[in-house]
Amino acid sequence: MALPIKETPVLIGKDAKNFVEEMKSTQDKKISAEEQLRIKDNYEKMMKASKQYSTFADD
Amino acid sequence: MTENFFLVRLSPEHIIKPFRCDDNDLNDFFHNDALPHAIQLLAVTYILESDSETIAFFSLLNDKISISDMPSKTMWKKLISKAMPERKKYRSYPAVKLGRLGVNDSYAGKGYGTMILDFIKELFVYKNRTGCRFITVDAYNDVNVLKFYQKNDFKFLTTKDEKEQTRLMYYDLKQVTN
Repeated sequence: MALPIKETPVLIGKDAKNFVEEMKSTQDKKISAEEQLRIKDNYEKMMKASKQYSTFADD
Repeated sequence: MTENFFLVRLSPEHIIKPFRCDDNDLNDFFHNDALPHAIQLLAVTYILESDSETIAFFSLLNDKISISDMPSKTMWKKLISKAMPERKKYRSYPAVKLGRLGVNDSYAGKGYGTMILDFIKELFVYKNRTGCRFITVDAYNDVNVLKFYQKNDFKFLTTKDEKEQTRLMYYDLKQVTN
């Protein structure tokens, strides 16, 4: 049997502090225009691939 | 990257096409556990396939990241007030978990893994019907796997799992919207 998918633990102590600090730094972080374009392009490729089986009906 | 591929949701009716990657646990999960997870509504597996082979698969489930306590209450108030706008301070944040992601050995290194991550990012920021702030991933504790997620800007959730078989990582979707 394969490993079970691990549950996400409740963060405590230093892990909680690091997580909140990272969230704080991401609040104003912006990905590059190039990355934004790549994400959209890859999303479109996957949506196109999903059409035959209507896996993700785009409503 | 082949242009001719299809994205299918795994169901009992679906005939799985050949898949093999260098991680036996991942092979085992795909062939034996993915469908029972779907039937029990625990995780949905999506398959990227060509006419003859499985190119890649990924399994998604609901998740959340919760914070229980901080070294001090003052520190918590100070940090969270800078991390989130006024009135949006929670101790629990909605997430989608990428339970497993596997790419067939024949298609490794061709950009399919990143394409799947990008798809999930766009899908859960702009097309999701509920709020979702983070992607979490239960990544195999393998240097190449961890490098792949780090390259895609995932961070480690904790250092406590450094010696375990998998490590939990996360990606803050907020940066996609800024």
